Amino acid sequence: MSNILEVKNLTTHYFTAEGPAEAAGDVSFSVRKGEMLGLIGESGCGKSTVASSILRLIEYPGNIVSGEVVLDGKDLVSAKEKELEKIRWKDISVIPQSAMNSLNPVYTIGDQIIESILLHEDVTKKVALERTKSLLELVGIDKDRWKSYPHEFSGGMKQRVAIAMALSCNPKLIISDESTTGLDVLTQAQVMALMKDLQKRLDLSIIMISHDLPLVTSVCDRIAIMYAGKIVEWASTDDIVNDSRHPYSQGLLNATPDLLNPDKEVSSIPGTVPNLVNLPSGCRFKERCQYAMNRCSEESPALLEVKKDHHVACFLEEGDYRE
Amino acid sequence: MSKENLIEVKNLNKTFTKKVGRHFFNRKNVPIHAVNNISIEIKKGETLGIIGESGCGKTTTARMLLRLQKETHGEILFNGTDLCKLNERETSKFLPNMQMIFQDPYDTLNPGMRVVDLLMEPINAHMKGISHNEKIEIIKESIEAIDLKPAERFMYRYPHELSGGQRQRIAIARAIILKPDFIAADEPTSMLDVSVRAGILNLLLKLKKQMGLTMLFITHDLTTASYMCDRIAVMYQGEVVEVGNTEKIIRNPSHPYTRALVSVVTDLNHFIENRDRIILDGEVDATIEKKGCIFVHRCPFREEHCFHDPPSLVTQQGDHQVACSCLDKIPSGLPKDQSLQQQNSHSI
Repeated sequence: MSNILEVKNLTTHYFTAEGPAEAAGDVSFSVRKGEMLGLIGESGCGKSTVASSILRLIEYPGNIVSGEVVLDGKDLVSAKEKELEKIRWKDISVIPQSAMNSLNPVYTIGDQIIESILLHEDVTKKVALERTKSLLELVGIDKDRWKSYPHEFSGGMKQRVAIAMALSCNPKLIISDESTTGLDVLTQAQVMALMKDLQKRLDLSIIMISHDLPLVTSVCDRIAIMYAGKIVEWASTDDIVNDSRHPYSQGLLNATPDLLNPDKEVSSIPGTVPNLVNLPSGCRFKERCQYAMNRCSEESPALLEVKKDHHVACFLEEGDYRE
Repeated sequence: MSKENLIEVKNLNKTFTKKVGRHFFNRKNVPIHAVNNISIEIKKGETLGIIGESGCGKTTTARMLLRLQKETHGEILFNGTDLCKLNERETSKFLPNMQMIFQDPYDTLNPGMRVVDLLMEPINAHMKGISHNEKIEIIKESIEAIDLKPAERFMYRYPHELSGGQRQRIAIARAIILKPDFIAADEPTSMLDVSVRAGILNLLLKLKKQMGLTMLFITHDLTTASYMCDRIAVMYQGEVVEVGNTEKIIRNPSHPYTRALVSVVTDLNHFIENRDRIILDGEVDATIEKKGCIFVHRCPFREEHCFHDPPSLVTQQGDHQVACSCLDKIPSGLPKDQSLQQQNSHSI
């Protein structure tokens, strides 16, 4: 399968008063056509930074220091702002973190979707309205409700509107940034089922950013786990759940209770996330890692492919240390 | 009141009013039943979980138990005393026995107070006639009890110098410092990162064992509930729809709402492909006028009579209670649920 998006050695710094904070360090991953990729990590691990780096929407004082973001053969990091304006929303669209607040309360949702279509495509307003109606039907909202204002919808419905809006220009890639956080469990299940269904039907490529490992394992094809600005493991969902290799991924799995096996003891990962400004040398996880060795503080492990489609950044995978 | 129950709640109600109407003359007060006639029992030494979506009244119930909010009517028996009939002074005598842990550790601690001041507050309020040194000793003990060691390192810090997990631990220390019998924990881990969450859950389990606490654990996450709770009560729109042993409910949910909840749990063992999820239409709407069953608008098994007669909690087996009048029409077990069945056969 061909890759729709390739992120190569992306490094993004925030130049704070205390010094540069490396929110994304040497991040490399790719998204295949028709794939749902989960990007997981705790708060402050840099997953949203990666998303805004892809769109080149990093805000001051942040900046992309090095790396490439290749969308369908075109590098976005070196692209001009004028070209980016055409790519944003047309080629890459976003389902934002709080879809409930991202809609403009004084315009009808129809107006807002039509606006995004007209901005990017050379069509008449009538065509745009027809497309808006079919988009609303696609996400399970009555097509006559394009005349409604956001406050007339419930939280889950607004989320559906946001999804319809993200689909409005047939994008190549959709980035969903914690888009179901804050919804009720049943509503979240509705929205997730809708997204999975649309992904299969329309062959969409989606990057799903979340902190909720169980949720992501239930919908994504592949998962990349981030820790303190680095991707530590990147593999198929099955491999992450059943054959995780990085100590941090294993720690995350051990910290999640098992519904049907309440006797499984969960354990937290000791210690805290390092400060991104004063990063320790070598592996960023070493202070919380039970397998830490001398080599871990000397050099930083690279993301290596240990078996087909399973990438791990840990020295344990290079030798037979584990035994 | 039976002896084994620490708390008995009988027909507890809380009604809020909402003003509707734009103009002065047609403005009306519309009642919103946040908690509607619920009756629950909490046995001594057990953890009862309250499960439900946001707005279902689980926090309001806990706040009424701890007298942070006045009930509209109903009874709350704590060790045989009806808390609803006590005046303010009598209530304050009861308060050291019951404490609450709140959801957001970033909001609950006063940013201008050091840890030692935060913990001194409950002692000053409820423990009279002990010296300052003794108070400091008690504070040190309680800080070490929540696994922040050595206590001196944390005592003189301000909340902003602590991580989220450490703040929640301080909030727990504040709750246990008066050695209460009963603790209500309102989603204590929902604001925390996954890697820290497990530590807080284990701490609560440890304290419960050490101090013989009785706990009310509020959560919207069934997985956490299965780890923490002996029994769970499932709430929907202010009413309890199902109560019973946690494992029994998770393996064999009876009420249509519980069935939907259990079927959509995202758990590491279950992938979306091999499970038939019950995806319900619609959403919670508190303003709908309730005549019959509260769940009728979203229920896939509804019948004509469900629109008129509200069901009451009926005991099924042991202490398993369900509020549904169509139980005999609902197939037992979850539909085509291979992963659950595999799990079951594993454990047997």
